[in-house]
Amino acid sequence: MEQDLLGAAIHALGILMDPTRLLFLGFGVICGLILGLVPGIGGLVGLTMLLPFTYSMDPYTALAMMLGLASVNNTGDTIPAVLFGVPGSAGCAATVLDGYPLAKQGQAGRALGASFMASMLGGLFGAFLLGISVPILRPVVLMFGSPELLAFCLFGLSLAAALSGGALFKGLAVAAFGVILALVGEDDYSGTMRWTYDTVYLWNGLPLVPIALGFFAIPELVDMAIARTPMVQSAMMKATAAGQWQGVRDVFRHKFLLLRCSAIGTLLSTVPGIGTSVIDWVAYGHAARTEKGASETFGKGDIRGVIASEASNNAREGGTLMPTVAFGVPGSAGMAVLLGMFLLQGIVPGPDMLTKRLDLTYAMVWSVALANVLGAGICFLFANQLARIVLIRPSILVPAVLAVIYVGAFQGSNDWGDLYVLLICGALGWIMKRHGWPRPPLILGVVLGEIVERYMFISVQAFGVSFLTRPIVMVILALTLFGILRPFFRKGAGRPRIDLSGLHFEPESLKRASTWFAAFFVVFFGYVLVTSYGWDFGARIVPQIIAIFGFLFATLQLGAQMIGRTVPSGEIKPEAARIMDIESSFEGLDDRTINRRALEAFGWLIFLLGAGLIVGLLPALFLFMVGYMRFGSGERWLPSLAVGAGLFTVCYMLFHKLLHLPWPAALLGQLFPALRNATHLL
Amino acid sequence: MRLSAFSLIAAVAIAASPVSAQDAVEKFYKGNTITINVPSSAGGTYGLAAQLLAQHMPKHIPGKPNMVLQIMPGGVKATNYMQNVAPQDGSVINLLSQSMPDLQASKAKGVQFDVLKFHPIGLIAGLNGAFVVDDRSPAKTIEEMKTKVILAGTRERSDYGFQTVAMLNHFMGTKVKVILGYDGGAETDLAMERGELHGKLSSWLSIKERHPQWGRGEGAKVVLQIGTERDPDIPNVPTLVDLAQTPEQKKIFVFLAGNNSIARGLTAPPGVPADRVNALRAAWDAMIKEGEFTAALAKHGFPPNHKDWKTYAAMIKELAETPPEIIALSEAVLSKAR
Repeated sequence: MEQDLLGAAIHALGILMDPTRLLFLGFGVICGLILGLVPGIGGLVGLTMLLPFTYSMDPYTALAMMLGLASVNNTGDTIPAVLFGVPGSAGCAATVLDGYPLAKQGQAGRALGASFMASMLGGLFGAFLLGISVPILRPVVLMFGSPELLAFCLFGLSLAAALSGGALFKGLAVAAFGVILALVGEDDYSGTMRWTYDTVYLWNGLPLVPIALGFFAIPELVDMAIARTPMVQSAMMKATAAGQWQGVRDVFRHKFLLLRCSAIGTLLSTVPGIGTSVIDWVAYGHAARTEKGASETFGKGDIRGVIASEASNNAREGGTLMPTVAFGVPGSAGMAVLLGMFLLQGIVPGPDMLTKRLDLTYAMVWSVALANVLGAGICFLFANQLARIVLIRPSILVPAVLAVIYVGAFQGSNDWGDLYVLLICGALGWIMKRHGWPRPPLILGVVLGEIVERYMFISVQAFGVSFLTRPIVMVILALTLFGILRPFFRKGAGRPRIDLSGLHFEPESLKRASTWFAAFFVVFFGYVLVTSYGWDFGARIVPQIIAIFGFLFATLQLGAQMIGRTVPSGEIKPEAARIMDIESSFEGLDDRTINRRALEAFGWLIFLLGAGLIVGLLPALFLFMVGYMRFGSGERWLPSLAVGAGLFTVCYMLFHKLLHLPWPAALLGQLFPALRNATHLL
Repeated sequence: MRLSAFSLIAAVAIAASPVSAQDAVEKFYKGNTITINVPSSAGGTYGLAAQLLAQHMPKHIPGKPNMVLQIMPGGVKATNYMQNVAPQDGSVINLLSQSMPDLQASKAKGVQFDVLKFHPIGLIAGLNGAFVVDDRSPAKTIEEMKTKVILAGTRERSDYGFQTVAMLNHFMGTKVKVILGYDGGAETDLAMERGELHGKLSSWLSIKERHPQWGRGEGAKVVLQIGTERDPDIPNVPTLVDLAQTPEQKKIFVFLAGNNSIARGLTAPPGVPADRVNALRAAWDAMIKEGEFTAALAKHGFPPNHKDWKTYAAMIKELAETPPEIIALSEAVLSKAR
């Protein structure tokens, strides 16, 4: 058998080494890298774009091109994450946490170098694991039923605690908030409309893309608009080539972390529905929990955070291919496109792929491996030039990136609602970032909330409570519990002492925004409990359990913020908990200026939305760009118009002509349908 | 004099119109791209049908445009988009999700379209549904299902995998428990393979494409099909309508089978100009006549029951105008189903 596998692997490599196939693989890789750079536009759009090209190709060439694109999407998306704190896809939001602070310290080269190397090695690990697990793929996938997948997801959700840093109650309340967001929409089981307020947009639930971009991209850009100075002064910028090598060395120094996070990435991605957007956080949470001193340095520019996130999200591709190849179950929307291509080519996923069509399976393994090497190589070549983006002045960078983010967010569900979600989450994200509330647990909650509910219902309906006694479920749940409780059993921790002396109400706390934010969560969870009261049992059980815990955590946090402790020296003990997230810092700016500038920035964001509603999103990008540069930043007319026109042209060519993205209906288009038909933009 | 000059111009215009319409359509489509909106994920038979169209249809359209797919999972969402947002100039056309006429007739929530305003281009295929039961299931026939509970799975209550089974349970007394929450056909297949589910109802095409052995009765077997006629692949499996014991049952089973008869069809949205709609219909006819498209459909297992636009239009109309008493009966059964 081993001989057969090796033979098939070598044979497949030979097939793939055909120059034409390599050329198409390279083409796929370049498309994947470019699309990875554009926030919100990911593999799905790219694969759909390439699909028609595959009609006239043989299966190997088609696979090479498609997998070339899919495999490196998470390599390219690192670049905007590191350079301006905007995740290029939902799959690398965790990279922002340490990659961006490193760039701000002038170490963009190092962060990028480590990212590319970790991405490549993670990708190779995933491909290798897929390659060697062929003989056991079907039995292994069959071992994991819905109860086991539920346990996996609960394990992932438990990492919300690790991602909260020192602010446990804040983190857990935020995670519960995320779960509730995920449960908005029509309930599959009873048909109950949960918090949809008769809005069609909300019936299908909130899409992840605008939520992730709102919570992670908008706050960074608003902060950049507030600071009004380039993120890095050119004098601070360290030589990027040397920095990249340092990043590469960092990866090899932390090789065991790389291996662990790659394994997490590959294994978790075999669970359908988990997807790329949570794997990076699970790996990051794992690193935060297990790496020495992580609680002090993660979120401030620790290279280990970058390595963890990047290794895991590229290792994913090998993992998602496992259920796709062995059973035809797509692990992601991108994989569904790949399956569509399989069908057209007459490839039927399933047992044959692991016996008679091993050549195809190994062609996939090699495609993923080669694409990762090629993708990282190209990134290394261009990193020097790309890293200089951080020197561009915010008056140009901020509106340009914001404009692209709007287009990306709209891919969530092709509805104006996506942009409202983007703005609301952006505002919440900014407040959280500014006032020390960790955002990472929220994304875990959003992604896993819906899946946990789904697998829990399937498990209970199919097995009753006996699903809890299945051996793998018991092992995973025990590990989850161990992870949660371990901090309490550390050496020297002893029994927690409850000391009520010196506690008193702290009137000053009412002036702190963070206190009001805690109060907001208390009210929010109260609202959730009250409004879900009359629902069908199936529709309310999960949201109510989550809301009870959320209410509890938020109340504890509110209490902790409103109650001070007088320590013996007479000083009030300050709130010192460090959160695991990027913290805002504006040197030399007072609170009033910061708040005023933040309002201005959000005013521009609302302007872009409003203009889009009237004249269409793409023309509004031009107006916004020119308006922001001329009136928001005081640039002259000529550069404002030139940059605005340039951005419009790039967006028009890329999104409209090449990718054929749908545009939302604008008022002008509704009033004058001929105008919409003539331009296709309104 | 004036009047006669006007008449002359009008007469010339009318005489020349077929040619100029053809030219105008060609001018519009030349170098242009037609987007096919796909109301499902790309991995299933909707995506496959759209890809086959993209391969074979463009060369028959004047101007030979490119054709690309736009993936927009969710039938109601995609159809709403097609009527209210997409350009109405013939540059975006769509596969009409099969249950849309039915949902319109039921006045379902979220429907912001009128399928009768869409321009049917041609029906690619009617696809029968098939209820497949695993060999390890406690009940392996419809009769046995009346005494033993079996577990079937699908995604949500609005799926026909739930609704049809609910009707079966109500009218035939079967005890099939449908577990909701599975994300698509491949996941329910996998759940069957690992013994979590005993059976499922989905399109016969997707079953035989993914599990040819089930079609041969190895590992699982088909016990029932949903469609107006029996699929030639499984001629010995009864249709739901065959099982009807009362006229009322027959009416509702025929209604349920109607959705399957328009499973994969191509339409253009309401505002597309008549000359472009006509050009698309002519391209459809030419494509069918040429035979490559139908051969490709056959190669991928689609039954040879494609229809021209007139027949397809009549089928859509019949479903969208289902008598209210049938809709009311169906809703009464579904509201009780758990």
